[in-house]
Amino acid sequence: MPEAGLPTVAGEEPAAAPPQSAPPAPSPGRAIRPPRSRFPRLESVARQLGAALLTLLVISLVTFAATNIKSPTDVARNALGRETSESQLQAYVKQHGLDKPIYIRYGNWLGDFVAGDWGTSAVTGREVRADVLPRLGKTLLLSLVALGVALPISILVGVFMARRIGSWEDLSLLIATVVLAALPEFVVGIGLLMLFAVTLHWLPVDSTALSFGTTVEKMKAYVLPTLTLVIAMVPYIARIARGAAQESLAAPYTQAALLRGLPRRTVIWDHAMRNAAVPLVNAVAINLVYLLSGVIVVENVFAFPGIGQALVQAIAQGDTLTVQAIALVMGAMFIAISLAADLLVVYFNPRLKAATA
Amino acid sequence: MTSGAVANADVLEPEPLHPAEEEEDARPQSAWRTVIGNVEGQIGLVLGVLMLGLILFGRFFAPYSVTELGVGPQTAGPSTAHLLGTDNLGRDVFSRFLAGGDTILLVPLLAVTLAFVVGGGLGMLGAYARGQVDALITRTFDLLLTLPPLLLVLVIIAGLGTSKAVLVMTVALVFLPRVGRVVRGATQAVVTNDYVAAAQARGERTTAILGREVLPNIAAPAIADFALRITYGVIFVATLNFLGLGAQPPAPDWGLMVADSRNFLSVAPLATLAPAAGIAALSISFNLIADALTRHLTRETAKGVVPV
Repeated sequence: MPEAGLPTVAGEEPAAAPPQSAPPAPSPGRAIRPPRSRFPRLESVARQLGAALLTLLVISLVTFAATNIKSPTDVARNALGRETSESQLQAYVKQHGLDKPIYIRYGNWLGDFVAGDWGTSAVTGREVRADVLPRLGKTLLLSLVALGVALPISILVGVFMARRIGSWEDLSLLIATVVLAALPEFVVGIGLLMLFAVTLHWLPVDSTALSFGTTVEKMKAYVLPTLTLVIAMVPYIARIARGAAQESLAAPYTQAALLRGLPRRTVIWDHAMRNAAVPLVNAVAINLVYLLSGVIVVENVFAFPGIGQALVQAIAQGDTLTVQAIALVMGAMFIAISLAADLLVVYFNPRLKAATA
Repeated sequence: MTSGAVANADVLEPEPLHPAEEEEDARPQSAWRTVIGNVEGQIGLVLGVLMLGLILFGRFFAPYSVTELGVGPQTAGPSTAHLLGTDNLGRDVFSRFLAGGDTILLVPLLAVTLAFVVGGGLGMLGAYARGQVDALITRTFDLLLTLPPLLLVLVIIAGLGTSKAVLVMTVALVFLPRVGRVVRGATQAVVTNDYVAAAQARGERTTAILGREVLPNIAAPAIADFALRITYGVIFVATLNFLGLGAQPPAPDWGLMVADSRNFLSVAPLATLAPAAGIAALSISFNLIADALTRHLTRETAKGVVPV
């Protein structure tokens, strides 16, 4: 669920740097603080990686705690069925180490997970890893394609609006973003299904062709899920882009460039938007985790065989190990994409590259 | 207002002839007046009242039982007997539509209120107390904020199961740090005022200062944020219902109806489209109101800027 704080243009502020990034206290008696590092860029990347790992650790903790809150016998009964004798239950508990304290079980699970052993699902009887990994690629591709389409459209719309602040075009587009942002992904998806699949018959009603169809069918299966995600993302990113563009278009350097008679196109894209890119990508990166969550819903609307669909299935079936694995993998995917966006900011802003303490 | 030209224009402006008028202009408008004062808010309000009426009283006008199977033929189109047709189990779609909006109104309301009481309280306390209390509260918020909301809620539901209580608690947990940060920011701007210092000097208790001095002065941004959170809450809960992790069958819930009838979209489209439209209308009305409120709080003008 996106959290761009729709009307507030800046969206979510970045979560504060994690505790380990606190700068060392300056030693007393020295006028000039020594540079913290000779590689500030490397350090900032390392810091973000640290924050990402910390977040993943919290996700793993919350997931494990939530899914293991049931008593061991309940877990055993869940796996073996209701008509099970007491001794069978005890044997299952022993065999799966459910009699150990929860923190030891957590440690064992996390250790195994990192080592690549994701366990065997008690529900399907298959290896969790073999079930999840092939789906991950499809979800990742869907997310990236949607983002790749949504970002340029949003920026164009945002700049269009920022150039006409207060005009009827701006206001009607603003209202349009408010209306679109209020629609849950599944409502958008159903609307598109109705239009393009049921009425016009242009596209398939679900994405099951991904599992067995031809290449063309596979590509068609991506269209509606991507379009749904794009429609869910554009209102948020366009509002952020409008805010960023508005600020840099009104900035003195832009005004000066205009008054010097530089061509408008140059001023907008080379002067204003190059500077707007930093706050823009920053705000987008922070909201990405929320925007990308929509992929879970979209996959379920279109029966898209990704990890979002598998997650909801696993929850409905009480498949604990699969839920844990997907929560971690999906969390990692979201964080990796927004980390990549963060690195883009450095690329856009040479000042950050050259920055020394 | 970052432009130098604007600052100069302000300096050159002659002094107002009627300072009293100026003062009256600067008085903060009430939230109510803000909403009914512009078209966006008006549309949102009218739509919201309509949807509220439908959700609260619609069930009393349902012509058929909302859960009874086979009150008509399966997946039939609209007729005088069944205004919106029937679904794949022969239930009357119109009756179910009239009765199906309460979860996505009630759960978000409770969850957002809970988030405001707990998160807002903590945010106010942090900004007021400062120091280590503030640091602890802010860090906790930051930690919670890094968790992807939908994933967090799904995982908790996976462990605790689906019930209205679990839904309210988990959705509140998602909103808690976000509300907390908005309230904390607003409080920070207020606590430096003299009337707060005066209350402290009078020796009033912290709860009294927060309740009587701070709270009325952060009401405007808090109300705007409340409306926005309700929008997100409606989207959130409707989505959970759609995924089958909220309301459980045979409850006549809009999200659930969309999920159940999705496979029959080509034969009985209204069974899916009517509840989807209901969700959309409710959520849009709240978002329009929230946007009207927020826009008023952060009035944007572009005077004195060369149009690009």
